[in-house]
Formats: sequence, structure tokens, C-alpha cells
Amino acid sequence: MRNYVSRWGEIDIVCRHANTLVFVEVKARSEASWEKPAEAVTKSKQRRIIRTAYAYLQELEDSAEIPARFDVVEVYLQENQAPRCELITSAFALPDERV
Amino acid sequence: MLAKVQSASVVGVQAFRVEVEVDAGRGLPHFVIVGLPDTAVKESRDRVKSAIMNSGYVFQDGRNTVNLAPADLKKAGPSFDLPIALGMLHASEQLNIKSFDDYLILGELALNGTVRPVRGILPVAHAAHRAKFKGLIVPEANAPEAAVVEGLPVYGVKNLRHAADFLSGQTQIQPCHVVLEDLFRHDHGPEDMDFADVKGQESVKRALEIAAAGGHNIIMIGPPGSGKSMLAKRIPSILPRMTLPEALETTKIHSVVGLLQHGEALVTARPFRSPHHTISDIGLIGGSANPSPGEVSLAHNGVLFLDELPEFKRSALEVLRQPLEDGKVTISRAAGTLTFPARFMLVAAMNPSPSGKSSDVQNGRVSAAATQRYLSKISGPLLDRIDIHIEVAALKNEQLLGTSTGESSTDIRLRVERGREIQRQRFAGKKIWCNAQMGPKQIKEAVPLNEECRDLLKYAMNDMNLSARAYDRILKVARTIADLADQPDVAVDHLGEAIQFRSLDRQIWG
Repeated sequence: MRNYVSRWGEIDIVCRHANTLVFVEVKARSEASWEKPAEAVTKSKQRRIIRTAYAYLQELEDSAEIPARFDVVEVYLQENQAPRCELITSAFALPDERV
Repeated sequence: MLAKVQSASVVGVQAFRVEVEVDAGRGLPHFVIVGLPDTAVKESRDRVKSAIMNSGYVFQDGRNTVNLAPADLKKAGPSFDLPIALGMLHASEQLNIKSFDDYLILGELALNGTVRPVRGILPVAHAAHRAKFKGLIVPEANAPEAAVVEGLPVYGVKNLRHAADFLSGQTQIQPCHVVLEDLFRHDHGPEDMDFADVKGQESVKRALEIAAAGGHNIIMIGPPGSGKSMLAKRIPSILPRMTLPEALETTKIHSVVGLLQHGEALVTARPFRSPHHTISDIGLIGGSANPSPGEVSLAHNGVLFLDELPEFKRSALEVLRQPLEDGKVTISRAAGTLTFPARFMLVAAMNPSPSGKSSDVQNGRVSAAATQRYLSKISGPLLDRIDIHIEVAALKNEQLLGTSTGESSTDIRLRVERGREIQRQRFAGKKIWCNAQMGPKQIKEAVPLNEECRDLLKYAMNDMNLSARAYDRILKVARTIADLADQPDVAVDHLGEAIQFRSLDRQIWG
């Protein structure tokens, strides 16, 4: 599913890998940029994604029984070429405190 | 799925059992440790995760909860890494173990899965033996230390996979075995510490021999360079050999603070602790938020050497009184009250004046008031607990250049051990075992005085202006001197030698 939106925010891609539910955040940067795309997924951005994921799970039945994880896809944009992608699995997890 | 692993933690020098419960549930990825963990335990998450992944297993994302029960006791240190990791592997069904209940498991994990040594293994091994566990799984470097406890198989593991394979029955580990007799055979301490190295100072050596034989505390007064520290460092070499119960007690304390060398099983040489005079009260007697033993406990069954005694903070010296009296220290903190053993021989050294030389007082270079101020830093009650005062004179040139060597520590120790044996027989069935521990009643029984001795004591008390507190000390030391001479009764010459060990009573407080 592409671009799930709730009142808490949005998630770029929601998909399944084997029987695991994967929430994917896609970040793009130009190849020349000194910052890695993944670095742009800050703590507050993670929190927003986690809250949105909760909202998504609430719409499902038996949501507590579904294994889930959060991935980040880095997209490097290059001039006159196809963009290069890198997948980071299990990029982040729930923080200690409640969200 | 749920896993339950048995582990243990140490408070003071006592171990208590901790159950590590690991629940690997589904859901959003989350890893939390509850059960009053300190920072080192909380950080265990990141070590466990890396160690699992780098050992070729899969770290399952999901709702992972670790509970350390009982939940009301504070858990400290990294020793729960290994049980948590094994619990995670079992809970995520990567490991097929019927039951964790047979073994007590401890160990810190490195990021690559190697198991690192932890502190306080010996108390844990004792607890495991009492609780009748089938075995103890510890880091390989700690195995000899735990193996000292007889009747408990100890398995040393190298890394996480090694431990996992052992528990699932894929590998065998030979239980670690130590022969206690072998440990005691080579316990002479550092070879270079022998009384034969000390030139001259025969009278001081004699005083130290008496102190060692009777367990008396001793203070040496002398100018810098007269060899006070050199002599003190050699006292452990003439003290009687450690017995197994003594060695176990001392090792427990050293184990808790992490003083044991890598792979060392037992402290078999008497400890010699020489804290610097800037030490704090807590450093000396123990304490801090998570109460840990201080220098007095580290010197348990050994020697506590306080060089430059008047330079120590007065408050630090005063806290010495309880351990000197009771042989233990009781520390009360918000977390609870703990008792550490602290039975040591106090050896102190000081200069006769602030400048270091007594001649400076006589020729007026240092004022009498300044000297008095310097000496009065040592309180009467503390001095009261020191039986023997001995003056150490500066060496003369001919002594220093001479080739004569002194008696060896081995010979002196033989006499000391014989003297101790006499005392052990005398106090058999009582709670004390050496002359220094005698109370007024026991002194009366053990030191009967004849007419001649009584006269000498009366003369000494009057003429030298000795106090009542000095009286008991003299009798105790006289008893030890008689024991060394293998005499059943205290004679005049024993008493005379004992009286001259009270020089400070006259000089400072007389």
C-alpha cells in the first residue's frame, strides 16, 4: 500500500515481507549531498511514523499478533541516471517511553 | 514465547538469586528491560542485540520484554547479558532447551559474542551450591574462582554460541577443577619481599615478630629513610599462612570489587593494603550508594598499613575504631544495611616531628608546640587500640655498608606459627584465637602475675606515669612474648620487654 495517511501523519509504503508487516519510510537526497538520507529520519520523524503505524494497526483485526518492523529506503538522485536505492531493514524501534 | 533463566546478583558480599524472564512477543519492534535495572543493565540491550546477530543467530524484532525478578531489588552490572541473550534465543525458538532451571548463568557479552569475566563470582558460586543447582555457567576466565567451591560443577564458556551449544546438548564442557592444596603450595607472595633484605633494625624486627605472633596492632615511629615502609611491606611474609576459610573470606571481598587477577582462583597470600593518606572515610571503611567494601575490608585477614599516620584526616582515622574493635564494618545506607568483614592487623608509621627528625625538636628548629600539634592528630582512643609502639632509628653507615644479612622471613614465620598454635590451644572453645583479642577477664586468667612481676608493674605505672589503658596492653604483649619463648607463665623479663613498647604513652599523652 502506498502512502497511508491518518490524522497522525503519513507512511510512505506499507507492505508485507513474508508474514511481517513492514512500514517503510522513503527519503531522497541528491548524490552530491553531504548528508545521508537516513540521517533525515530524526527522532521526531520516527515518533510520527510510529504513531501512524499504531493508527494503521488499529484498523486491522488481531493487530497485536502481527510481527512488524520499520524500514528506511534511501534514494540517491543522480543527474541523467536512474536513482540508486538502498534498503535499511529494522532501521528503528519503539523508544523506551510511551509514544 | 516465554523463557526463564536463573541468574544471580551480589549485594555487599552476599549473592541472591535473580530470575531473568524473557518474553519475545509480536508487534511493533520494542526492547525493554524492567525490574529496577541500573544503567549497565539497561545498556545490556544493545550488547545483547549485537552479540546475537554477530554469533550467527537472528535477532527477532517484535515486542521483547525482559524482567529481572525479584523486581524490588536493584540490579547492577553487566552480568545479566548472557542470561538475557540465552533467554532471547530460547524465546525466539532458535535454541532447543528443555529447561534452564538446572543451571545458574552469569556473564558479560562483548559485541562479537565473546563472554567477558564479571565480578563477584565466588559469592554466587556459594549461593548456587547452597541452592543445590546442578551447575554454574560462568565466563571462562572466572571458572577457576568459582571452582573453589567443592561439589559444584562449574562450566566456563568462551562465547554465546559455546554456551548455547552446551545448554542444547550439542557440546560437552569439562567442568573446571582446581586442587586447593596446589593453590596453597606456592603462596610465598612476591619473592623479593623477605626480612633478610632489611639491614640492621633488629629491635624493630623483634617487635614486628611479636606483633605478628599475637595479632597486635603496631605503630613505628622514626625519621624518613629509616626503613619503616620497607619493614611493613614484609609483615605478610612472617604472618601465619592463610587457612582455607580465611582465604575464602578474603577472596569473596576481592572478587566483589574485581581485584582478582584474570583466572586467579583464590587469594592465598595475606593482603597488604597501603592506602594513601588523602583517602576519604568511605574509601577506607566502604560505602557509597551501592555499598562496596573499603580498604579495611580489602585488608581482611591481612595487613592495613597507614604510612604517615598523622597526615590522615582525623575523621578517617576515627572510623577505624569500629573495625578495630569488632573485626567488621556495618554500613547503613538508604538501600539497606550491610556488614563487611574487616579483621586486619593495623600497622602504622609516622615521623617523630613534622620535619621528620627528632633532633630538630631538641635543637629548637621545630617548635615544641608544632610537634605537639602534629602528634596530637592521633586520638587517644585510636592509640588505645595499638598495642605496640616501636621507635625506628636511622641506620648508621657501618650497618648500611655492612654485608651481614638478617634472618629470613621463613625462619621468623616458623616461630610465629608456633606461638599462634599455643594461643589457639589456650583459646580453644572461645570466640577468640590470639592474644590481642583478649578481654579483661581473659587477661586475668591467661596472665597470672607473681610478686616480682607485680612490683615491676607498680614501679612502671608510677615512674613512667602509665595509664590504666596501657596496663592491659602491656599484659597482652607480655603474654605473646612468653608464648614466643614457649613459657607457660609470664616472667619479669617478658614483662620488661612489653613495658618498653609503650613509649608513645609517655611522649605524647604522659
